[in-house]
Amino acid sequence: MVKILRLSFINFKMSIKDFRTIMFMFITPLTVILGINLMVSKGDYTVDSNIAFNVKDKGTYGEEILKEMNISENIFYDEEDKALELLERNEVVAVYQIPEDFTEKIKNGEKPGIQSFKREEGNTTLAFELNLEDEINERIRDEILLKNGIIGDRSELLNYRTRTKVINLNENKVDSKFALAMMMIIYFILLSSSSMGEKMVGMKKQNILSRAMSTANAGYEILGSLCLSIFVLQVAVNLAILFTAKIIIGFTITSFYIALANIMLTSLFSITFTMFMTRVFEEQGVVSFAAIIFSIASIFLSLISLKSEVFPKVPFVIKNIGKITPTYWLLDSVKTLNLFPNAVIVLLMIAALFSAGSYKLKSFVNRV
Amino acid sequence: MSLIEVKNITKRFGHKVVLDNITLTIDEGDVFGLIGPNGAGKSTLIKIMTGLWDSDGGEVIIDGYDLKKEPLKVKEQIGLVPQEIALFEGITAYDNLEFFGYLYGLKGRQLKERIDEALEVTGLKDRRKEKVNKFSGGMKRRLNIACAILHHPRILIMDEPTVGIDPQSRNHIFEFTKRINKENNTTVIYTSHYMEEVEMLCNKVFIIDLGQEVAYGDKKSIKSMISNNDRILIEAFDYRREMIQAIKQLPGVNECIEEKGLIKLLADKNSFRLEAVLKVIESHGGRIKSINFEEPSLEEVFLALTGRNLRD
Repeated sequence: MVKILRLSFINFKMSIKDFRTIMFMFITPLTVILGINLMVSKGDYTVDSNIAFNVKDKGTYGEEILKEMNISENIFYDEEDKALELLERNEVVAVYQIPEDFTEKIKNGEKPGIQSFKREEGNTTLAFELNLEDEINERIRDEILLKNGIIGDRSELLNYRTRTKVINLNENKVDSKFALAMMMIIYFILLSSSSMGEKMVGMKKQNILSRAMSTANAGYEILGSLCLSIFVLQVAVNLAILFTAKIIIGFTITSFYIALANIMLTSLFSITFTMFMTRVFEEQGVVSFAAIIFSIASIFLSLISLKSEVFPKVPFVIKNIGKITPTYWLLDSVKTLNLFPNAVIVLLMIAALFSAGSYKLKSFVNRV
Repeated sequence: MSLIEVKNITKRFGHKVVLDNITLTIDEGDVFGLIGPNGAGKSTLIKIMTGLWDSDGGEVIIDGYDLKKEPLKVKEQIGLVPQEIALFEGITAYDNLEFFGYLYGLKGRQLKERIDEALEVTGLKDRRKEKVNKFSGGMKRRLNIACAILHHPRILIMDEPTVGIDPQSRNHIFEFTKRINKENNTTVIYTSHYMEEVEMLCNKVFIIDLGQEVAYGDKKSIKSMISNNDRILIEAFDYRREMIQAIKQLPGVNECIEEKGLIKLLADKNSFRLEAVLKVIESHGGRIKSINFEEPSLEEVFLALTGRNLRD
């Protein structure tokens, strides 16, 4: 074990001497986290500026709902032509018309219909439409509660709604910016499997591994020390990214232990995944390509599984396939702040990959 | 007991036998030449001797340790200079040496001293802080050697160390090999397909072709395998023409020709007597400037034993 630690130290030292790689490991994820955060913090919906509204409502609910949704651009009041002109000029992807009886219908406990104009069908505005639906449903529910005397006045309504929100807050007390940063960190660690795989195949091609095999060190000591050094480097760099992002963006690290555990689990998965890939594919380019495809696909499928309600048209199988990826359980762990059973499931995945992907260094080095 | 014993080593790739029952011994302090054309099996044998490849039969015993049973004990004593450059290209010469020093179990002050020493003997001290990707082929070869000698191995295995390098670096490697053998009594195994290198450096030679032993022993005994004749070159002048015919009549002289003032003799090792030739030259008024005995080269030995040139 002492030997592995000693060899890990020199491997780690070699890695940090490659200053460009370290900066790339640090700067790229950080830039992406900051960039995405900047985009998201501009509004609740990134499609804001691509949507126009024509408000014909004679009451106040139409305007209030848009305000609650942080929408302030492209709002016209009974000027349908001007709103549709934006659509014709391709400046917006959709125009929503809030009808004259919008407030009145809600007050009567009815759901008002909202007419939309689009150049083509698509999912671009799906998230916005789901949120608009939620806002309208909430308003209708409040009105029904008032009308039926379940609550007495508006202040009680506010209390009731606050209580409802408290339940939601308990479920989602994680700072969304922290969750976003963690998601990107997990993605980038997985993506690093690509460069790690390249490094291992590269060390084989540069004959470093075969030379190392001629020294008085066992194959498991050489391979183990290499993996340990990568693990330490990944955890250190990604914690640095998390803390730097926290300082710049100003989010709260809701649970450091959850963050640390998830970074460590992702790194372990990434390393065993790399070993598996280098066992299956010997070519640097193929290992790299396969790792990139896996990283993108797993994060994409995980997000679909985690936010399945946002994608009503996606087939059931696709919605659930994400659950077999580690990213689903890692992201879910960050979202719910639970390590159990998520960590156990990811560890089982790592164990399965390790047994499928582990190899004797000698046979890896000697395979042509 | 010999330092290295290779017994009946066999290696197959599929149905192809690449090493066929190779047996040899190397004593401590030997500079042992392993020679043969490309693809003869030299590097395969080296890889088996260093534990990188497993053999299909036979055993390698180094300093009494069986390579299969106690590989780490064997590897402790070996420094391998692989045929292919095995270095990190993106870091400095010093950092490469530090990395391999750690692999050899060196640390602290001892590691620093050994790095300095290795840089010194390979003539790279001034380039220690330069990245390897800026080095010439010859400098990379020298650094490749430096990485193998950090732990002062008892056995230094140099697999084609001079391939594709400039004459200056080649000379440097020759000088280094002689020096490390003489000063440290390091046993050197030197593989090459350049016979003249082995001829110059090695005291014992193993010639291999198509995975089989062609010849094995000290240089003299190997050369004697192909001929019982000595070749003698005599530079003489002022002699009378009939002298050549007189020399031809002497016992043990198989052939005598004159070429541009040089008398070339092919003589039987057992029955030839040089004094008789000298007397004939004197009696024909000749005066002798020089006498040289010429041995066949290893290249000629290989040609005679295999029927083809080494670089065919």
